[in-house]
Amino acid sequence: MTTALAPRGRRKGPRRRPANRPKTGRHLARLLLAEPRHRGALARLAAWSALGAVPVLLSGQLVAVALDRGFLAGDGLFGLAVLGGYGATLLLGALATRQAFVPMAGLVESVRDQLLRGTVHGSLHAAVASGRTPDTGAVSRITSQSERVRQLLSALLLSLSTTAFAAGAAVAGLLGLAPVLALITLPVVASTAALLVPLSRRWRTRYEASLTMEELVAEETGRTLDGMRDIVACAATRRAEDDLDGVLSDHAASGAAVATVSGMRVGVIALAARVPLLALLLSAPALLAGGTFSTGELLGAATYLVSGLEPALRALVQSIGNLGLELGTLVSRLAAHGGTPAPATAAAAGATAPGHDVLLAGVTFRYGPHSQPVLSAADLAIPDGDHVTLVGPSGVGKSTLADVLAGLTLPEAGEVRLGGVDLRTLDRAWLRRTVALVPQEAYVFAGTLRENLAYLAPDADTARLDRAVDALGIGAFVRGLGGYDAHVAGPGALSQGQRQLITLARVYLSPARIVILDEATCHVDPETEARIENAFARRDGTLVVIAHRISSALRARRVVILQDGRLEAARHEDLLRRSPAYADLVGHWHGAG
Amino acid sequence: MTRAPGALRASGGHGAALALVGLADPVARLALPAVLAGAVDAALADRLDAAALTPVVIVLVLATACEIGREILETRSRLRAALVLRRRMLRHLFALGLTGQRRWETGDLLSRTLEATSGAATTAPVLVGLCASLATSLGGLVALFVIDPRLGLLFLVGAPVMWWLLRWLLTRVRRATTDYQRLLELLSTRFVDALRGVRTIRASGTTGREVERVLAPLPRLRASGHEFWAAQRRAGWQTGLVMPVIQVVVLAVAGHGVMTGRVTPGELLAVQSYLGRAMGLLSQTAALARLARARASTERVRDVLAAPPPPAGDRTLPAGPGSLSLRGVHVSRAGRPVLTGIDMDVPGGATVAIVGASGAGKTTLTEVAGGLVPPDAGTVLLDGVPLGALRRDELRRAVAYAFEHPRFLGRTVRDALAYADEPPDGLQRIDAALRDSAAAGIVARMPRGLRTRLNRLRLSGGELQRLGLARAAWRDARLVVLDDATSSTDTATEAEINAALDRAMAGVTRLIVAHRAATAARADLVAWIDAGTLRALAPHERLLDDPAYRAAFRAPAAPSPGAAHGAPAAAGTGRTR
Repeated sequence: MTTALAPRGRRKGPRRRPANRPKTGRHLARLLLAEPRHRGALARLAAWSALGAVPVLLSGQLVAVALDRGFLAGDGLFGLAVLGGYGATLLLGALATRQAFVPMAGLVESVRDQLLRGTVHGSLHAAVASGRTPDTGAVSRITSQSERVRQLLSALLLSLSTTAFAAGAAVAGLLGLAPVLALITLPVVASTAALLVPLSRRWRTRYEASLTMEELVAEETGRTLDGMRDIVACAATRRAEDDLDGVLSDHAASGAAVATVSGMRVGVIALAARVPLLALLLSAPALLAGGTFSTGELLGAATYLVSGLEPALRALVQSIGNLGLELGTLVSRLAAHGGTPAPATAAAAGATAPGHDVLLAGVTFRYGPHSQPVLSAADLAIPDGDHVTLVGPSGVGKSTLADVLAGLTLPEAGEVRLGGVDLRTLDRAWLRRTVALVPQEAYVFAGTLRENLAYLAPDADTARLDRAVDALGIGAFVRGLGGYDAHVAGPGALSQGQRQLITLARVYLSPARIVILDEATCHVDPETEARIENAFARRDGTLVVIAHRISSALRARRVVILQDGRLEAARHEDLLRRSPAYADLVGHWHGAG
Repeated sequence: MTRAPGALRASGGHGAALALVGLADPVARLALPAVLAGAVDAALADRLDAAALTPVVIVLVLATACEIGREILETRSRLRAALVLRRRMLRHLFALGLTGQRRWETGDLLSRTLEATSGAATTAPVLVGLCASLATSLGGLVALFVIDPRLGLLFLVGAPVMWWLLRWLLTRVRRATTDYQRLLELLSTRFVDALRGVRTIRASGTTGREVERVLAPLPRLRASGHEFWAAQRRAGWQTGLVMPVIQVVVLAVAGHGVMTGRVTPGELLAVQSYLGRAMGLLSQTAALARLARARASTERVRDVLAAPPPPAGDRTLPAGPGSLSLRGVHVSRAGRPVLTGIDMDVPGGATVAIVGASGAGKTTLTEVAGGLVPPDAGTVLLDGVPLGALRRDELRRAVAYAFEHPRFLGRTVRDALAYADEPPDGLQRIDAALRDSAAAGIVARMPRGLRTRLNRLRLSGGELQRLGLARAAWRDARLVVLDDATSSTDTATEAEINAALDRAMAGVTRLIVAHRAATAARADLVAWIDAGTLRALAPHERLLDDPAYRAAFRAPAAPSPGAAHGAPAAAGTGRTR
């Protein structure tokens, strides 16, 4: 899928981390530690992992014993027995690792659930609050990103717990075998850690910068490919190529900057693992001569360093550095979708209106502080039971007016009243049940036709569905689908017009007293449109139609024209005389044939 | 088009350096246990001197240098190759123009341009890594044989068992993921559906219910996830059983060797390392899979690079009125003919309305006439010169387009309107173009006028169309194509625009795809397209007697006032957030 892409400025040079991106670790820590359940699982995971490191802890010691008292002492059986004991600890380690899967799986599945719940909840609420479909490509990536979090988190938890304990066990075993070596090993490990902290910090900064660049590359490339026809037609291929080339080069440079720090980090770790080994070799003659070390102990110590510490250190930094950072970044990004925005309109509880007359008084609305108002001190009264059609040039703000009428958008000045009560003070749930707005884009969800029809009237029985279907004259369509219990699949299975029929029947069945059709019949043919509008006009309550065809205006009791932010309402014939703009609109509509 | 150079070569100097490191790395990794063993044995014999220690230091330094170099060069060569491939891809896509867009979906092209290039770019690192680790593993095995042939034989017996076990477990785990993926997909589909219906959900006040509907598959997803982990756990456990057995047996044989003097104590240490290296043979399948993925990505890139761009020559246009001729033009798409045998002559400066039912081929005709798409057969001539013989930039300067759904690029509104390789100097021409397109008012309503950032815009379909017209109107084109470019404006505004464009584009040849009879009536000629053929080229009044012609206007309902709200198609054109 291409994404809908917001254009961004082209800037030279590498981009800095955006100020609003939170520190990557914080969300991850909160996700893992906030729930007591998670803390328990982490503790169990740690316990099993500690047990899993026992073989590493014993490895050098057992090699030493097997050599000194077994193979080198000429007692092969004893040597074999010790190695057999080592094999047993390896099996114990494998068993512990197996058990560590249980708390890990519980934790990972729970985190994934929590992420999906949070992000679906958050982005759906945010989209509803804004009233506009977000870039569905970006939002739908949420599910794949949650999945990526699941995989990364499981890998991170397993490798981190295993390697951290293994490194600790190697150091502990080494100290147990040869405490003298601690004098060298511990300072080296400590100074490595001291070096790794600033290095990792720099790595993270650069990595995040490169991620930002990667997003920018995807965004700009998508925009360019989406606009290919226009770029070619505008004779702007060189311009577009230059724009994009800058972004691509910046991206490559930002990735190379990450690699440099990675290389340094690899060097530091190699040092930490290898300096103690060199020190061991250098001090070996003295230790052996002084009787501090036996042959087996020297080999055991080397075993700790070569097969214990080095691989563990390497894996540890790899997992914290790469997995952890990618994970932290992903979780922060998902967290951005997870927040539930405060409801845009104050949700006063309780109040319902005594009547259903709609009144707009001095309503002003504009999109931005400097833009021309869509509504400017507009007045309009729609008494209960009225049937009006709203017309106006395209782009004048008819849909905005519909939102204002339904109480979905708050005007910046003036009042909208329902039954004499200001919409802002009405109970939200009651208002949503009482006023139904049917937008152009029909929402039909995967489920049965019955579920879709009864969406707003869950207690509607088949007889009631039948009556609505008859009233709207869509019986043939319903039968064609296979009846009420036919499954209507997701998008694509139905045509736009068919989807509109379903949403119209749904609202017809709803308890709404005021119905606003915002070009809700634009994909059905004129005859069906007339039948549907007439059915709604006969239905109890008020009908407001935003006209897609001029014929809608001829059917209405009154016509309202929106022009220059003002509203003018009258019967069709009167408005034709009074409003030149309306006459013009009707004339052109007819002229168009 | 030369043969698309391989992904390997694209990694350039970094790739060559990486190959060098790839040669040195196995040497260092294999030498390290040997020199360590030597040093340990020397220490045990109390003759640890510089001669025994120097090789250790050298090999340690070499190994560390190889590790650092590999870490840096792998990334750098991958990035370099990706950059080279992406540049090549984009240049080719720009040359292909609409031809490329016809052949591949935009989403597919995006994934080929970004993901496939970066997949192909891993060829060099993956290949080097594969060779290096193969050499290391085989070297480790050889070392085991050299130290004690029994050790090597033992490994050869144990490894196939291990390999077979790993494969068997992998298929079982893979099976457990399929079900999980399906449920995740279901949840994702519901989520996107709900997001598309957000206006309805908002108006119905049912957000809470929708959240629950989207999340309904979650319990099943969780159950399936737990099944997956259980399979993984079994897999890990069973391999966990085999590894220690091999390890302990090898150690026991080596220990026995120490006892009998066949193996030195230092070699016992080396055996542990070499066993680890040799075990690397088992993970080669993963590297082979990565290589296969890189090759598949390379194919996806090559596919696009191999597509021939539309023909272009080096001729320039003579001075002329913009007369347009189509000779035997034939276009088919996906094997189905869209235009067949179109012959038509449009005198310079004439306005031609293109009329026909939806799907008749009107848009394709405008694309061919303006050289956006070459005809599959036949020729298009502009002032006597075949479009395919023209220099590409010359052709693009000569023809301007305005579309039903224009897409805008650039930073600000001004930048988007002046978007071209050769933008106009100053603002006068853009201001005039805005007035001629009845779009000056739209810009005046924007928060910062022409300096408004594109991503700050909230515009209706009709408003976008008028800006699209303005973007075409300032150009010095001799042919202007308006493809349904005013369909979302109301009829009054359209009339205003037409009058202004008549003044501004006097003498310019115009092709106008029209759905309204009024537009056809105002044109000098009407090109009536019916099922891919030119049914007539004549004035509107002459055609009016034909009932089939009149029917062409009645089919679709009048203005479709467009994507005023949240239509996904408009999202990329500047209406965001």
